[in-house]
Amino acid sequence: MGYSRHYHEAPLPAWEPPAQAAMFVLVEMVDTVRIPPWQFERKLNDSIAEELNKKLANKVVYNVGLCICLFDITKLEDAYVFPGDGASHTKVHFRYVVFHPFLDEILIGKIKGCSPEGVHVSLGFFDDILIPPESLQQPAKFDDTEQVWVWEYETEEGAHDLYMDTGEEIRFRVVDESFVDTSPTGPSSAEATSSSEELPKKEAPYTLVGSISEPGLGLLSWWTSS
Amino acid sequence: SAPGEGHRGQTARGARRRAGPDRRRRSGSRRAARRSRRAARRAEPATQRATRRAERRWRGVRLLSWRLEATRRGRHGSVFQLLTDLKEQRKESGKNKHSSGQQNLNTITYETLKYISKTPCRHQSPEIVREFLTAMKSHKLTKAEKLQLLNHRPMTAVEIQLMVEESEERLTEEQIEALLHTVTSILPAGPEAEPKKNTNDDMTMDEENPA
Repeated sequence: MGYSRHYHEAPLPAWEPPAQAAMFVLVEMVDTVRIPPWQFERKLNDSIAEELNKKLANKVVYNVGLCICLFDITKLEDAYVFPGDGASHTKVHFRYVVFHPFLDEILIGKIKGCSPEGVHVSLGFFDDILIPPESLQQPAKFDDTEQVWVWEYETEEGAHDLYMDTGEEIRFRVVDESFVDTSPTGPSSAEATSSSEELPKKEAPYTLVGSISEPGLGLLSWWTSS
Repeated sequence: SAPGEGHRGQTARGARRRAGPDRRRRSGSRRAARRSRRAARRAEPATQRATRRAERRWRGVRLLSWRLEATRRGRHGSVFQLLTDLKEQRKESGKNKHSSGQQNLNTITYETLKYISKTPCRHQSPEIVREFLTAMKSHKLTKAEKLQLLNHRPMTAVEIQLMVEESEERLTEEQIEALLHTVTSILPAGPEAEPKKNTNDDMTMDEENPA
């Protein structure tokens, strides 16, 4: 093969662990991008950036995080047209902005709703955050009639009910994360898990578990001195 | 006829050799360079020449991309800046047909921008961040802790305790006060956060008075 000699270097890992911890991280990735011939009139960088964003933006990459948008293209290898396909294939090294808070990071979000499983929090662009009952400020109870969690804050004058209403801003600590591989399974494994097929519930590919059981955490209004 | 041909060939070659120096002088060094390159190529072994020829054939389909320059951004560019730029870019090319099928990108950038716009990071610039980081050197905090301070611009001691691990052991009350002071003095509060800042000033004054 005339072109194989260009690939003699050892293939890079598909992604490298984020170099620094932050709410948003830059992740280096390598991908081969196919550009259809009707885009040849455009600048290659532009069409590749668009294809990468089409493929990754707003998607969760397993064990990497929620992809936001392309940061930059660090290297373009040679583009090839293969027999039988008019499109060009380019191996691209690029950096992507990914939402992946580190454990123990403090974040501020909005309460999306309460349920017996805990308090659901949303950041706007990311919704799958749960604060389980045991991680709430204690003592906490679930108000069945209003469907809301309440912190029974105790003062000298007696217990003071602090409601965690939907839409309130809340500060929490990230204590755990979990990635679920939601890629489609082959027929063989589908047969094996046929017993659990009664659960059509769509699982979130990336969930964060939060905690507010520390002073300073919880609704922002609880801790402002006004 | 054979000697005649030979003769003619000889004269032609001779004529070229004679005209050579003149022509070189007239058409500049570019042709000379090309000729020397050609000569160097002729000196290569045959196999190398063959691969070069194959490569040239490949280059016909190799879309202009020998080594395209990477689009690099400043290292201090924040996600906020990146998204704002992207939004501007997309606004410009909004009428473009190609932007269809980019709903995912549109959704995520819109939502993320909305989120970041509500944080204090919105008002930070690379200069402010640099100034903040130099001021932070004396406080001996980890990178993650400094980042949290940047992201949240804490205004109360309780928030500092959340963001700095084992702050009770590592920081004295005075150090926390100093930290709060650097954070609030260097990092700008948004225009809408002005009243908040005032209450904070009152608070620190109250705390300073007894001391």
